Amino acid sequence: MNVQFKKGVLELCVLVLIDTKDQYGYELAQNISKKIEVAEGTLYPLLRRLTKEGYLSTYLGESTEGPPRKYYSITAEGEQYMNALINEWKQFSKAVDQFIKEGAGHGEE
Amino acid sequence: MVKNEFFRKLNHLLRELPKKERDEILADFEEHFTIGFNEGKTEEEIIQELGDPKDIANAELADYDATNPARQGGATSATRSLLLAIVLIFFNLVVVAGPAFGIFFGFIGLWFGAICMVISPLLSLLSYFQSGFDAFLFTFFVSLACCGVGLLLSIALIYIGKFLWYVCAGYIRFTIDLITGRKRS
Repeated sequence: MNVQFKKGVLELCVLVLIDTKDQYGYELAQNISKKIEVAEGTLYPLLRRLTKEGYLSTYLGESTEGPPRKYYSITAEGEQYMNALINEWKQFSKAVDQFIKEGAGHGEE
Repeated sequence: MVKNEFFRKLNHLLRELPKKERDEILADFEEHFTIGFNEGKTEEEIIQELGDPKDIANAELADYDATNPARQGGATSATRSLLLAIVLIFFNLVVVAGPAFGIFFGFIGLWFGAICMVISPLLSLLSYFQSGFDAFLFTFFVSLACCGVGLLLSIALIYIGKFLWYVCAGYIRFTIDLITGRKRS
């Protein structure tokens, strides 16, 4: 997938996933890369930025194996931002779908 | 590429960030590796999944630049660099150049002195042809002493040379950092 395109959407995916359930970086990277092809390393800068902007907060959670892990959870501000992004995405994808449908229909004629 | 190399590369690429930020970033990846190992992955597999350190560093640096107004605005920082460069060039010409040349040529002079002292026993042979054996013996032994002193001086000069080189290289690096506005910590 196009890199610039993916960058914007990835932010939305990260927020939605963390909104569903608090998770640590590794877990999140696995969950995303299961469905979207992504260099997992670039998720960390994204997480740090979202944290700095106040959309995410972090805490240390104990783990059964190894040292405590850094968990990310969404803040109220983050939830607002996420909802705004979801609306934008819906409008955007609807428009794109429409273009594709019209384009494809036109091609068949 | 193995883990150490990954961290070394990332650390190097992030050198412009303050140490605190860099440590935080590296700690996140340290955690990622630890969990990956626990799940039975190899270093290579984890690194493959993480992707190119360059991409990671670029994203971090872009975010850092965006949130730090001090480093923003290419035009103003370019003007600042240019002005600073001009000021530094004048400062170096007027204040630093004189003493630096003095020390440099003094250093070379001392080297000539040391070399002459070391080879002085050879020169003392000349006095044998000019003023006979007794005078020659006296000159010869004095010149041997000189040779010893010259050798000691040479050793001292080697150390002094190294020291001057470090000072010089350090000063040049400092100047360049000042102009480019880069921080090292």
